[in-house]
Amino acid sequence: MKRQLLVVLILSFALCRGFAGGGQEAASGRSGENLEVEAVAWGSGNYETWFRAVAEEMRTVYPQLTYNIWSTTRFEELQPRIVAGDPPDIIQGNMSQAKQGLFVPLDDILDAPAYDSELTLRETFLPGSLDRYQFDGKTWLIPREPGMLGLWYDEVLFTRYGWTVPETWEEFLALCEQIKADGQVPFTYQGLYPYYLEILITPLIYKTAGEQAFRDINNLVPGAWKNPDVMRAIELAREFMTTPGNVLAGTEGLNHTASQIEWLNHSAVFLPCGTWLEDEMADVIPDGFQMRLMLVPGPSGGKGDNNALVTYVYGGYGVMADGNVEYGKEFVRIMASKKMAQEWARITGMFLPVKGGTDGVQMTPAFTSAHRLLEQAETTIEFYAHGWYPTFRKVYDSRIADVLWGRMTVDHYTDLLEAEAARILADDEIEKQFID
Amino acid sequence: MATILRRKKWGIIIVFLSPAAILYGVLKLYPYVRGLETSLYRWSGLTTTRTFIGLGNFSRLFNDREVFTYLGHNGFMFLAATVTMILGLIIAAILARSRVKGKNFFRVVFFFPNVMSVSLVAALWSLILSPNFGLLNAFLRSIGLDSLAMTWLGPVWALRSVGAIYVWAGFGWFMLLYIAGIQNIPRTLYEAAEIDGASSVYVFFRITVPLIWELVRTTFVFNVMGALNQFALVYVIFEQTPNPNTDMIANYFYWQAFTNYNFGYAASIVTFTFLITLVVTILTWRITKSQTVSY
Repeated sequence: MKRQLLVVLILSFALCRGFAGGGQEAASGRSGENLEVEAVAWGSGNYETWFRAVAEEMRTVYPQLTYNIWSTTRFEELQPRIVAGDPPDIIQGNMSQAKQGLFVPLDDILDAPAYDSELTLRETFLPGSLDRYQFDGKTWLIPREPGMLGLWYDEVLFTRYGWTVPETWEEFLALCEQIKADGQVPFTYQGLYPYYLEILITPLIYKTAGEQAFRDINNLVPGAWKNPDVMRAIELAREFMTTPGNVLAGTEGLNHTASQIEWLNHSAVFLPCGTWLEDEMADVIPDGFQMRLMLVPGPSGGKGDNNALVTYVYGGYGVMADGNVEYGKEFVRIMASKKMAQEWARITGMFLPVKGGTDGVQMTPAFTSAHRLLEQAETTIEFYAHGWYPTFRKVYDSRIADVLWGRMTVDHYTDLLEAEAARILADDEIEKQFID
Repeated sequence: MATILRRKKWGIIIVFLSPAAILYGVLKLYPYVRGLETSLYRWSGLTTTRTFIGLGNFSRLFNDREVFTYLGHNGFMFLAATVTMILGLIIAAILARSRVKGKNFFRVVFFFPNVMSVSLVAALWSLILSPNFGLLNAFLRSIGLDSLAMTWLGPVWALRSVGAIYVWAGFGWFMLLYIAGIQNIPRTLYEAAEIDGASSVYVFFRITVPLIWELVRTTFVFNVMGALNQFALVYVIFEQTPNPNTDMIANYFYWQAFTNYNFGYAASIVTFTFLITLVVTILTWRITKSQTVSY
């Protein structure tokens, strides 16, 4: 009996040790000089392809290192390793995570010469592109590709029917009436994911209510959502969506793939999306389809810059504090090089905010149309509060379809947003950010 | 000698039970205990730094309207699960005793959804319910019922659609269980009822159901637990986008833990759900208790 009990105890200990000790064994494997670089790409196969290209470039400089490159779209896959103190070395992150100490500041490599330029790495980035990654006087992440957001259309349809790109909201509404008269449907969107409607609302709010009002919204200023111009902008979008025939029937039941396929099949003329659209639908874009990006125009007499372009950046890449900091920073330095930015453009058809990042790369006409809008825009706008505060984003996104479809009044919607903004402001546990 | 044999028997039992017991302890009990412990802390889940706040998370939970909204959705799923059970019981009663031709074929067809993963079921029904491409609306339009071609995954119908998918995917399992139970009932009882002129409905309620009541009762308890554990179907169909029309309490927990980085609060949601499940399960078990009928 005692012998059997002893066997059971030994087995139990071995099992528990096996479950509990994995992390420690991984950590001890990294003692001494760490000759492995582990980088996790975020998103589709193209991202991992690019990371592998960066690793190959780095191998020419550091042939003694091994490179472990993989991809995920689930941060929760990384969380257990992060908490256990054995994270990958480079991951995509955001400033909330940076403020919790997950990443190391990158100022030493940013203020040193770039990989393939005489300029410092910081100087090789487009002006302003590092601003959102700064906190406490330091820079924590380097940017991923910025998305440009607007309404996509097929230029072939415009040529066929003689339509012109509208420059004001009134012209846009008149164009939609013309579109319907020509037997087409003006608009569809990714109905199951109503946050895509933000692409319609955000520029409309900015262009109607102006710079100060938009800043107040981002800074959670009490009463910002009750600004009459802000409410008017939401009302304009609501009127558009509820006008019979403007939105493709069944849109609310479409996921992003289905809605985008409907749009490619000319079931609707306009689709709100970002510059990732072309790459995402590359396999199914019909021959002859000429994707072009258009700004959401503001109303005549609006207070904001009518040429403002909405941009959105999905976090940035950083070096984890518990990872291989030395070689991780080198990987990031090479990622941010002009050569790798051009490689990125070649692989994905999108651009990184690095000077010369698209030199010598044949960009698609679709991307060129978006890039032209960026070059012409004196103002780029981003809905920061939407990115900074998950609970605010939840309220905004989960009810945006209700208000634009008329199931909720604009008054009620803005009451909900005001309440959540006030709650965030009052909560000392939530790190607040502000724009000047 | 008898004592030595008894001791040896217990030793062997311990040796063979231990691996399963240890696995259960490590993979089931330990997470429960750690989850309860985590619910007493403010913790982002990103670092090892935690702040003890006692019942602070639970205090917040009871003032969080979303918790009760989503529990309401779980309540709806409980109704769907009950329909699943009843449908399984009726079909089992028909297939177990009737001389319907091809009843084995029907058993396989009805059970087939159960061998599909939840992800596959969700993906399949996302396509079927697609408003413009989907099979359902295409069929309705083809027979002139355009007015019934709804946006099945839109805000108005989404929760009902999820419930219907749950019924479709689940009733086969209940059907199979009940068939096994019904087939254990002696034929002589049914023959006697037939001789006495009892109708099928009478036989169903007075013979079949009472004699498999313990089985029905057990599956009802599974129903309760299943309804409160709903997550994957909504998560896959709506792809983790917070959806106030369909999210279950588990989807809300997931959002709090992995999007809002509020692990402590998420753990309190899970603990609260566990307690509700426990209480409702015990109540269900007691309420459905009836005198055991033996034959």
